[in-house]
Amino acid sequence: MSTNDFDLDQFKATYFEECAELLIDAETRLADLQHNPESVDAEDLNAIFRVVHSVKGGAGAFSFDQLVGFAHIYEALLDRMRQGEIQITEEIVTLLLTANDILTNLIQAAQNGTTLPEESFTEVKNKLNLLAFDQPVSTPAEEGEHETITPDETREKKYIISFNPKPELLQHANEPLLLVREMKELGELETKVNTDRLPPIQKIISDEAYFSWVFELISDCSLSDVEEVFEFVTEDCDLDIKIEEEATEAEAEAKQEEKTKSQQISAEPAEPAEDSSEKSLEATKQQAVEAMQAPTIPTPAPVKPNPAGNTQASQRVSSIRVELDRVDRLVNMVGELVITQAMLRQQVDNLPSELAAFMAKGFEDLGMHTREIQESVMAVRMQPVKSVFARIPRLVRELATKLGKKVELETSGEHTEVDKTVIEQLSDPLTHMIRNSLDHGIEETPEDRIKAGKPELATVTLSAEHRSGRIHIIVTDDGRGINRERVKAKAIEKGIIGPDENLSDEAIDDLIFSPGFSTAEEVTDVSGRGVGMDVVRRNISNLGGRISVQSTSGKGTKFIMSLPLTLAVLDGMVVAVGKEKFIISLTAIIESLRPAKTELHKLSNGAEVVSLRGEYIRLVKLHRLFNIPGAQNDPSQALVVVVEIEGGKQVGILVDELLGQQQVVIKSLEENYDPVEGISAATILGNGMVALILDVDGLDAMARQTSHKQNQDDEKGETRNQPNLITTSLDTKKLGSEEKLTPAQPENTSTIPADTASEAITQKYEVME
Amino acid sequence: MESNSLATQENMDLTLQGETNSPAHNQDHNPDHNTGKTGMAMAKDTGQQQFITFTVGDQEYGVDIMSVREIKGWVETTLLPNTPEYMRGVLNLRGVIVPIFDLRCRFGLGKTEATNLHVIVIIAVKNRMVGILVDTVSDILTVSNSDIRDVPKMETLIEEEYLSGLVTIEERMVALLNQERLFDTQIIENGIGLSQVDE
Repeated sequence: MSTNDFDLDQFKATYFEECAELLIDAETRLADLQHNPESVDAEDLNAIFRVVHSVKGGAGAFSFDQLVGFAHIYEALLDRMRQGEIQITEEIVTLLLTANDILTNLIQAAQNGTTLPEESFTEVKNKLNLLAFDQPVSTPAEEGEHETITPDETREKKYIISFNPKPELLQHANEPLLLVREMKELGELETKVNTDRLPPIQKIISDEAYFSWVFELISDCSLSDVEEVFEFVTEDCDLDIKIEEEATEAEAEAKQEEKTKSQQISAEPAEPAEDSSEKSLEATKQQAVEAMQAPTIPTPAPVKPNPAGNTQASQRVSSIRVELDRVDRLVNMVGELVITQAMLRQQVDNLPSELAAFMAKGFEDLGMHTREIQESVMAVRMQPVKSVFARIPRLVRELATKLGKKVELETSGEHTEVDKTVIEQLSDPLTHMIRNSLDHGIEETPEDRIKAGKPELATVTLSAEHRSGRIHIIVTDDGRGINRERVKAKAIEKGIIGPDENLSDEAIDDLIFSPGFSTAEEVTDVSGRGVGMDVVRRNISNLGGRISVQSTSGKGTKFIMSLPLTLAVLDGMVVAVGKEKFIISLTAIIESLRPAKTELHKLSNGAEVVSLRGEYIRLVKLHRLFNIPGAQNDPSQALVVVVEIEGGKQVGILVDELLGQQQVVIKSLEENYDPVEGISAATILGNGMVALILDVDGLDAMARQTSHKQNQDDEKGETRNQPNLITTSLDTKKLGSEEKLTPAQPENTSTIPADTASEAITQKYEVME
Repeated sequence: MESNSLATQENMDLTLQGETNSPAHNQDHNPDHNTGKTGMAMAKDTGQQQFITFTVGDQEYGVDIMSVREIKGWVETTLLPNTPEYMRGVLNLRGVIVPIFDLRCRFGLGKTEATNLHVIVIIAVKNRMVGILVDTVSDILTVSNSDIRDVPKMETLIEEEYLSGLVTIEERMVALLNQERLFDTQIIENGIGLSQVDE
């Protein structure tokens, strides 16, 4: 059985994936520890211990020696802590946090196939060592080699452990050698191997366990410690642990002298005892070594080498790891199901009435079930924001140190769930917001805070909550608030606003999101990397979200980020322009109206505006931008959908009518074609037709480019006017050929009674549903 | 190098499958898989290739059969704004948005007035799926590589650039499409490249 045949890379990938998850868990629990060090939950310590232990175990299998070495010391300290041997102080918690950071770095390094320079963490390592083993190590520790047994005040006991593995032990990817090593860490160990079961060489099956062992362990540790060594293998072996006697200190000392000898034995537990027949000794040795080494590589055995932590294993956590691809396929097919169902539903009305009534009932149920399936499938993709939040404590720690500020991070709502697509996009803007809060929000020095009558320790709060079908992520600091004078001065200096513009406080606060704005006096490497909050706003609005800021001078600043729960589904308004249908994201829509003629104005540069409660809103004529024939050109006959675009500005999109609100599944247009200006994605409507989702920011940009051209066109006279709106919506196909023949009509000759129009909208609405 | 009646039979089956939207066709989007198959098929048939041929006006064109995913009747598409005239919009192919190109229009012969009798051939081009609008699907050809002639210098540059070869079947000439170049939007945007077509 050769171990090299396996493609290790795939196991490594799994290992690192698991490490990432484990570290998030550890990080979260450490944050808890940090907040209430007094009321330590033993379960937390245990959990962190298990994380480090699992990381170490995997690292050992892949020979990441540096990682193993560090994890070992870290683990040892954690172990002593959970035994209650070390009091949890603030200092210790800080050390643990640092250790965790280093562990993360080491894992990253291992993942990149590199190592970290030893000196970068020697100090922490020594500190850990001092606490874990009561003595520092000067040389980089190697696995299992550095422990010195220090006979301390706790009394030592002698454990007699008989360990008799069942044949499956090795098949389940367990490794007796590791157990022996682990026991060695507990105390002095004497090992006896029983090779009675070893069959003749010809009959050896390499992944069966033939040896059994009797260990004599002298240690001050508790019975549970010893049991824990075997925790992963209890089901695969017969284990008997007896406490023989309590070793006196003198005995312990005597043992200490023998230590060298016993270690020699224990170092090679795999070696069969001398009584093996001389003839087959060499071969047997070889076999034994192989037998023991092979399973350390996680083979595709039915049981995984349980990295998830041992209690979880026993609790039978009912979750599975599924490739995102599979879920996506499912989501896709459910989307299709919904469309097909909608299509069939439309046909029901054409059936004879008695049949239709019967079918309608069935379709009602079917509709309910499909909706439920869709929701369940979407729920599969939902994940708690915890995975993003967990990275933040470290960021805050590092930044606070770098900036010389004292900052405490409070998080809440980390269990709030949001679609995986959003999670992936959340990390960057959030990091930036936190950086901004620490760098600009919080006072320069702790002294400044004391002067301002605030506690020395600044608080940054990160919270998440569901609100009306969206997720709100809020970053609050109790710093100095936005300095409006300075923001305004800066904005004038940068030409963002005019020198004598009178802005409300909110408007000034909003200026920090303007492109090219940064109030930091000089570029710092923390948040002034040439990317400002404008990038954050743009990224968030690309996700269909919004960000706003509230600030009280001297009290602090609050950033509120509002995001859709998923990027796979969008609540949209279906609008008609000519015979085309488009979707506008509901989150962008502020209102829609049919302006009166008196409210329409034309600027000298050709741009058309509509005045709305004293504000002028630029019109974006969709049919012009997209060259759609047969659309209503006169805004007083059509509808203006007011949308918010980048930077909080508003523009009015001219459409023929609103067809109704609908949740649509977002489909990529770029998968098989190229990006189209003004279009963000596509979706499939109830009739199976593709509809395009408008990119309102892109439309605005297009409108600006073409506004001049538009002006010229207008002077040539209106040629494209849609004479009959109602016909369009009811029989698009017929009209499609008709309207080409329709002679140009002068503007505004066709007027539609308002009630007829609204009736049409209602009709369409039913169809859409 | 001859069109056989059996192939025509197959062809009809394929068309039927396409029209009934057999899910079997949908499963296999993977272009790598496809190229792998092509390579194998070519090696086994000692330098033979199979093409699906279709007509646009009087001219017959062929595409590598391994790149064809589905053949379906014309359905109404959703137009994409501000795209070239030969880009006939997108359609929903079981949840996937697929762009449709008008082959006649692509060759500068005017827009096809599409009816229910027109056919869309869905093909894989690199890692994308595109549909081409043609008049009819006619045949499946098995052709030895040695019978594929180079495209002679022609006056219309487009044809020369976007064809990978010519095959003569009895009296007819079939032009083999180089779909990678024909629907590579990069090339379309940058104008016609000068590099020689390989394959």
